[in-house]
Amino acid sequence: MAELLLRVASKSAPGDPRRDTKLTKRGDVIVVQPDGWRWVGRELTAPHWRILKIPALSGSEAAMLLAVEPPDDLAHPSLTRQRRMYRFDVDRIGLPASLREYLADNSRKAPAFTVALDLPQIRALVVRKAKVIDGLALS
Amino acid sequence: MTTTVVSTIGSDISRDYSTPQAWEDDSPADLTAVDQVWQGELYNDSEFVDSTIGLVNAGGVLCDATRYMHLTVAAGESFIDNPATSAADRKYDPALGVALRNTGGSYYRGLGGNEGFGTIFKVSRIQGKAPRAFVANRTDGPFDVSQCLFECTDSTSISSFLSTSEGTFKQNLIVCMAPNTSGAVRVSYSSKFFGNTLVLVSDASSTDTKGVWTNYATSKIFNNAVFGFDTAFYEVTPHGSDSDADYNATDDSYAPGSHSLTGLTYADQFVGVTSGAMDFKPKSGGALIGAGVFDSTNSPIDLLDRARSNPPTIGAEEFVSGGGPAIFANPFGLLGVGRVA
Repeated sequence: MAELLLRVASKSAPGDPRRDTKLTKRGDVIVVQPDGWRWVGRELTAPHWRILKIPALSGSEAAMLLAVEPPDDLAHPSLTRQRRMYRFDVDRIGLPASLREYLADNSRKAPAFTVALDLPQIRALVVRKAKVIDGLALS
Repeated sequence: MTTTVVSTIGSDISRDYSTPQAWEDDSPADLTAVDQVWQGELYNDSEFVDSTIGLVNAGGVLCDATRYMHLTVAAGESFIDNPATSAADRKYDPALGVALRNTGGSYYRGLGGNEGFGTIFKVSRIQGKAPRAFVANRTDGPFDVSQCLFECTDSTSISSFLSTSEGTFKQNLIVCMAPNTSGAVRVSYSSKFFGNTLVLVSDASSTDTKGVWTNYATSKIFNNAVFGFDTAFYEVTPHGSDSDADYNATDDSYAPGSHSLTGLTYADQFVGVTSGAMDFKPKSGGALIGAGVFDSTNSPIDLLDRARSNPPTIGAEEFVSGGGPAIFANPFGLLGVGRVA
């Protein structure tokens, strides 16, 4: 079982794709912790985060959600590689109503939510992000 | 007027964040626009342990010289603040103060990293243990790491644990526990590497290992003790002037600078140099003592806040003979807060 700190409001740098891709976005996992983690302070109250407790997800599989987008070309890595390669599709139609309601509640009335989906359902919510192409690359 | 926003990080319920990564992610995207220094202060509630890609990764946040991100240790919580540290073996020891340990970050980074792109990321006064301690791997994102103690366990990394395009690395002890053929520390462009001790434990294989790897002669390399590597200083473009690199010391046959010391006996310079008996305090009678050059700007104090002698001991730490050390009275009142390079 894993517990995730999830971003639900994107952090952005409009007009600067290099910086923007290094900032976390809606659906990105910020922190992965084991079952029973003691979340504190802002983690429980910040309107741009949520805490998901997912019994079906192992810690090691959850940790994959933290992966940075790898370079296609090691010699000339893109300057717009994204901070996270994967995101949770928190806007998918068909999400359980209780989860949708929790994700929409910026007041954080409930500090955390236990996701009662099985592993295939959880995996189906994970989306690999499309590349951000702007022609920039390290020489 | 710039505001320093101080947040607390630790496992106690009273803290603002339980992890440094949450602290980093909660920052504004543009610190220059909000005119803030974003400062996270770690507390020694328990050892920070992470088994994912790393404990903290910073990037994308717009900074400038006076508005930046600073991860440091709360007053009294660092190993530097602990009276027992002076006499203790000089190695990673969570019992002495805030300690961060990563067990799974060899793919990307262990303790920390900076994706750059405008982010100035400063780290000070922590001790950490990880496959790789700190990786800065993109342009336009300087970092500053000072007075930290790192123990690095990586044996398979294709990169180095410190790879910097721009940055400053001062008064740090970096202990490598396993060989890394691509360079333990990379110092590039105009980065500064001052007053550090960088060692590979003597019982690790040193075959093809490199200590400080520099790509450009414009980097500044002074007062560093580099021991245990096959090649201590690997220069793609040699430093041609003593004004760029000098007063370094090594057991290898070469170190940049006409005042540098070479061919020293590793075991004569530190109290303990094997993995089973690590203690990287300078050893009495060692050649490093008083062999450096005093630098009031970059190295006025050592790893443990002690005033540097003039001339200083080469490496992270001044030699102290017997008794307790004289604790440096920081004239800037920055103890536990860090400093601007």
